[in-house]
Amino acid sequence: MLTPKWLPTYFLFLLTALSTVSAAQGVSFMNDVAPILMTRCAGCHGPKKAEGGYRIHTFRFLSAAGDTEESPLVAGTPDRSPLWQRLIANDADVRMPQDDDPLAPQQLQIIAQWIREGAVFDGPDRDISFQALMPPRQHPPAPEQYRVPVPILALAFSPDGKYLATGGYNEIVLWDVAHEQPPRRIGNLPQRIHGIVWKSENKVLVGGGTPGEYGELSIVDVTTGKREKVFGTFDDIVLAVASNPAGDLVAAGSAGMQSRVYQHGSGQMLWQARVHSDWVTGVAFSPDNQFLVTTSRDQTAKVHEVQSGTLYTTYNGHRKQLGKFTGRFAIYDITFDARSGAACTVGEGRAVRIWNPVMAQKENGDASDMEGRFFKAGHTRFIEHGLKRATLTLAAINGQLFAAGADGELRQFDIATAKPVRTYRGHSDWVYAVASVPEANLVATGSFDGEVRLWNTSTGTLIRTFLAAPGLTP
Amino acid sequence: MKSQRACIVLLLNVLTLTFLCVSDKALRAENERATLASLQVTPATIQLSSRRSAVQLIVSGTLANGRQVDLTRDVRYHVQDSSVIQVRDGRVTANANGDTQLLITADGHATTVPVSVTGTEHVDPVSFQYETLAVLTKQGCNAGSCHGSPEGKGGFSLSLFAFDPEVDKRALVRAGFNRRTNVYEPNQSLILKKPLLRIPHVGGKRLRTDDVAYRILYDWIYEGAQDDGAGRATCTGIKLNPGPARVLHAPHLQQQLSVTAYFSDGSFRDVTRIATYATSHKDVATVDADGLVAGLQRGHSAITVRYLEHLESVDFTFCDTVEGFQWPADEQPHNYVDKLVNARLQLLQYPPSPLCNDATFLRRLYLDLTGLLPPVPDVEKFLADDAADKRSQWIDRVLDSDEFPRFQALRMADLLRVNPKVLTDGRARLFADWLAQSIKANMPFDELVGQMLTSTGDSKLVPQTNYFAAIGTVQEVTEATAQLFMGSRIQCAKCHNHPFENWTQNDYYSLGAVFSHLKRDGGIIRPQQTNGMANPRTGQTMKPWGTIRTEKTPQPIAAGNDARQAFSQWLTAETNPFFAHVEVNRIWAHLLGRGIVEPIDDFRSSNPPSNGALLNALAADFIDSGYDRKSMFRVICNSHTYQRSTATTPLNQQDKELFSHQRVRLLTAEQLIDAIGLVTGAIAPIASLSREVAQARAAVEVRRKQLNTLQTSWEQQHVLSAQEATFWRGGFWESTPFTAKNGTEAFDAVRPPEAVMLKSLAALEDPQNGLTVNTERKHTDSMQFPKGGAASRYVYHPVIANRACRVQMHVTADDGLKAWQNGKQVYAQQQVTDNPDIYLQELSLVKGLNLFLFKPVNKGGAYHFHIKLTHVPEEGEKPGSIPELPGYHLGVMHLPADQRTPQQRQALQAFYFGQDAELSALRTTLNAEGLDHYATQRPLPEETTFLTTFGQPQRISPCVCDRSSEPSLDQALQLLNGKHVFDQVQQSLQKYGPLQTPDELVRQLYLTAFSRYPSATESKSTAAFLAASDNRDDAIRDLIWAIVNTQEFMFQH
Repeated sequence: MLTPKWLPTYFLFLLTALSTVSAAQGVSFMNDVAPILMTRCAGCHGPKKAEGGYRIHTFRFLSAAGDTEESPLVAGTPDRSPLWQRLIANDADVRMPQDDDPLAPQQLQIIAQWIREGAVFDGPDRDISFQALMPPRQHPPAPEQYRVPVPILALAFSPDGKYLATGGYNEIVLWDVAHEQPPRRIGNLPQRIHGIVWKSENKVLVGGGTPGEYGELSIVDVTTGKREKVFGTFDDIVLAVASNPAGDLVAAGSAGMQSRVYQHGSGQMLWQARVHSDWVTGVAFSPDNQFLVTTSRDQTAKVHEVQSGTLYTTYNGHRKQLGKFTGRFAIYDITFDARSGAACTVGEGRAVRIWNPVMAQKENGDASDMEGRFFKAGHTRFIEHGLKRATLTLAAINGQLFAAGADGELRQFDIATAKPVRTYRGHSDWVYAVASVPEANLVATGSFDGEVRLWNTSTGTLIRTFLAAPGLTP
Repeated sequence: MKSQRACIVLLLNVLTLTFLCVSDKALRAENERATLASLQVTPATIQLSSRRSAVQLIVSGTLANGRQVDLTRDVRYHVQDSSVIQVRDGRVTANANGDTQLLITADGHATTVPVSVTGTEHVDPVSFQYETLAVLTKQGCNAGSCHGSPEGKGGFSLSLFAFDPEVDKRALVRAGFNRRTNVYEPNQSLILKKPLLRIPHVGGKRLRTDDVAYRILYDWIYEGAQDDGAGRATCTGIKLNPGPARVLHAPHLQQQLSVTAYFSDGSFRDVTRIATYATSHKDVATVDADGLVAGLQRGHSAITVRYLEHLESVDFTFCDTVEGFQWPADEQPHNYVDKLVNARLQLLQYPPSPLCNDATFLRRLYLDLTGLLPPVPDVEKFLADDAADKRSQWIDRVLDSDEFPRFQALRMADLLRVNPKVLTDGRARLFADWLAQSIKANMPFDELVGQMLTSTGDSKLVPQTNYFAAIGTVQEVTEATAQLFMGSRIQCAKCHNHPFENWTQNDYYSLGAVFSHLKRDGGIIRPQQTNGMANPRTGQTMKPWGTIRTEKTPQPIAAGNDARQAFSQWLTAETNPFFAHVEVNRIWAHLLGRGIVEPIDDFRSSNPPSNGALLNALAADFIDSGYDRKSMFRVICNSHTYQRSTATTPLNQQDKELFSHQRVRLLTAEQLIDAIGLVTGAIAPIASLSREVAQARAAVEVRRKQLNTLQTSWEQQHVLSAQEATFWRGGFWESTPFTAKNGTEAFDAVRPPEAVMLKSLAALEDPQNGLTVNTERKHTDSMQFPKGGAASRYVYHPVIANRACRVQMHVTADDGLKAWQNGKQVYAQQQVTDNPDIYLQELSLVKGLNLFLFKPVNKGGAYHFHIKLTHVPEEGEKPGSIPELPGYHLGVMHLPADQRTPQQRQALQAFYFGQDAELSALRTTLNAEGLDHYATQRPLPEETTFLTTFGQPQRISPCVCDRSSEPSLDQALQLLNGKHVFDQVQQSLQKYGPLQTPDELVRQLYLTAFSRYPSATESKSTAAFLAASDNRDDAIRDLIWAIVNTQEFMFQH
């Protein structure tokens, strides 16, 4: 630790070091300039907002004139480049970023030097957003010891049911269900883990990121404990991941409203869609591998054809205006019932919707039967779950549906009869994740306070409770 | 280290002094500093009881000239033991437990503040409710345009100004998959990174790491992002220091504020750093995040401080020396109004304009009080009058005219929504006439309002009840009452605590509870028992306002007690902070063109009066006068302030709100149309009307007397005809809700006397067709069907048969009907349809009284039923005749005069007079030929294109803004080219054609239009214009058209 006395000297050294290094090696747009622009400018001049008709999130946009119709960059001469002039102007109404601190001297120096050196673009594609061109982040190691527990946002059993993976802080932790071996920790993963899929013995699919700025879908090798492959990055956190029954496709949905499907083997992106107008909260492949269904806080579920990504239909059962279950509700999760092939979706409101993508498409009809459509009862079956607040997570196994959320209770239903089977009580905080495994009659729940509970589904008894925060004792 | 800092402080002080000395203004400052007379420090002692606690000191100096100056940042602070506390900008923060002395010195004055610090060894967690939420407000996160909007922003929604902590806690921590707070690594929290602009934030930069708010948010998250747990003391209010008003003189235009929050357990805490500050006049004063106010120029501005739902303001006046300012030596205040206005003008150094001339005064007075141009003979008489107090005399004269109450009634009727489209069946007329009569009789304003607010009865008979009949819902009544009589716009508080005022959502529903028990079906206003009104957000039932405001401990209102009584008493009590102030401000605004509080119905601490002392004095005078509006008009009209010229001087032209001069005002729609009518001669001057009107009035009186003497014979005639009929009906009566085991018991219980009957259904009765009750038709329905409960309502109906006969009873209903005749059930159907020919029942009437009792069977929802009896002649019998009159009146006629109730007598007389053709004709004459020709004299507006173009209100809102005062292109077109002006100018020859000489013509025209004689130049040029024209008629028309389009005519000066 540096003592304060040394601090100024240290900064001076750092500054000198920086400028010497950059002067010697030249400034890279992608490595040095784009990160500054993305953090300091993109809020007002980016994909969502274009103040002054000007955007900077792709190189094409960056070099095109905004409303002033002046070319922002004059290669070689910063003083004639409006972009530079706006960064150093004295007039607070002119200077960028407006209503914010000016760029740091080092940052200004980098930009000036880049323009002076010819304002060269060293990225692969002028039309792809810098965000997408950025390489996947290198994540810090997991905490050695947790000071406080972190919410359990994702859970998954190993295929044999012997291990339970929990999402931690920059890590996933593999717990021995029998509680004989100490947990194994796999770190250097995204800050928050929102999705874990564990289908093959030693490969785990992990989705997560940093809220508001970064999302990632990757594969972790359990045996080596390394992040093996990153399928892609997102401009907001990944909230949901899934793989198809055959295991050759993986999907992710992000709070940046994007849904994507990748080929498991090659890592190639098959398609991406931005059809939701709010966070994508759930993704699931249909058992017949025909569809990928995505759910969103925008109150809709979208059915995509798996291979092409074409929007097959929109399911509107969470924003009905007629019938018993009326209201407009955000959707927080989806799962498929493998037996009936039905989609189960839930969120706000007081019922799980059980529905079939093909039937949903038929009921949506065409423009000519608009009026009649309102009065159709529809094929959807509703399971009144009895939970009073938001239902955040669902799991279906062997014809049984498990639902939990802000009430802290886990409820089990028989999907075929829509009858409640059992209620599991014990959590004293919001439950964000539930996982089940068929062979072992096990279901696991994880809550805001970091607690994981294992339940026996044949007896309804609690097997064990533990705090999924290594190093922290309750 | 310590000595180093002291040196720097010293050095800075020296630098500051040197700097001050160089500028002229600073020199003045130094001179005044030298005359510091005393030093005041608040608080006098300081106790810091936790690690993070702090106190903002306020150090004030009194100068030798008595002025106050803020020295908080200018004095020297010497801490005896600097291990205990530290002081910066007058802010004392704790270092360690202990006791010490804080010595404060300035210019030879010194004072000591004992300080004790305890509790620093304990953890001092951030309070979610009292710190976290407060800084979310301070940083603007939960403002109405950001995450506090109903839909939130960017998917993140907070309650407006943190009025719902539960919602906020959920949104900040657990909702959104715990996206926004990161307890493990707090600086990774989205609620910090976004406003710091570490990542893009559409709302921009809202937070800096050196803000107090950053530390609070960071610590709160670090400590687990938890709420405060149950049982914590609640904040009961805040106190500002200095307050509530402060006058500052240049160059000392700076003032530090301190804010202390008080809690239900008796504790208090300095919240200066986490309170939110706003200024009402940005050009006059600014305030920074730490509560440091800086005056920019002379003027006044309220600095409003918000802490959670608590709002308080300090009313600042900033004074400066104006070059060349001199108070006119000859300015003698006429009354207290002038004294207070002048005091304010002197303080802020605006010299007043001189008084206007007599002609301008008279025109202004007539237009303001009567809405009309002064009649020409009056103008001439006034101008010739040389009495010293002639203005006073004429003020009294105009105040006593018939036109004054009529014009004031028009203005009041605007606000009370006297709209014939809503108040149908003559109710608008009834209400408007009552208003005019009340104002003419100069009914005390508290009584007038009290009568309206507590009125009960049929709005067709009781004029005051139309206050309620005119307004749609309980919520609208609540909001309108608050706006009209309390000057408070409380609409916002319906869904959330008011963003700019101390109105909470609970207050709103407490006010609502005053009116929520009113039933007003069929235009009949009647109170029912109430427990209060529920706040839909919390489910808590709020007790009616008035009961809770007048008593320290809330008392439940007694069963059957009308909550409006308590409210009305509270409202019109002398101690009420709103009532008198709001009304005098309305009168003031009417006469001076701008309220002392503006907008005139937006009283709140963040919108201070431009002259508080004046408003208070007027209100006190109004109360002393017994709420005499006329007296207030008299006081204000007599003041020099009212009589000042509209011409400004170079030194007062910038004054917009201190009344140093009168304001030029465009005539209102009604004033303008009447003025055009008078100038063109299209409507006759009042003087010539008065004879006709007086004649018609006298004739009405004569006819009424005649009719009174004839009433007995009229009654006898109808009684006879009733006795000739086979049978006649004695009206329909609704019973009070009653629980009976069976119909027979009910029959016995609710049979006459009338005393047990709730009300007559006379209004619904049609002599030919019997009774129709329909709860779907809002203004004609009558009966209420209690939901649930065992109690039922019954309709009682006496039928008097002159001989035994057979009758047919026709029934239509939704759903069913039961009927008893003389105690025996004669009809019972659970389900009846609307075809009157299907549901028939033949009955025998006995000679004499046949008492029918009907019980509607309502299965829910709206309900209607209809009952009619027709005679079924026996063979060879003549069909019986049906009396022409409603049974209710027939029944009354059968009673001896001394047994009739006043209501019966009144209703019968009204019905009788209403039937008389001669009286109706006279009334029409009175209306058509009398003052009703004048738009300003007619409380019921007629909607014409001309009037609406010039801003005639639609009477749909309690806001004066319903009357538009915005000039528009349409108005110019109407005046230049409109049909109304054209038609009237065409007619003007009748008035001006006969005038022989051009001089006479010009004189008449100027006296009528401008209330003054033409100048020699005007006479000459007009005469020349007329002489030059080859068509005198056209020339006259052109002249009048030109006059109507002059600014002098269109404006009031």
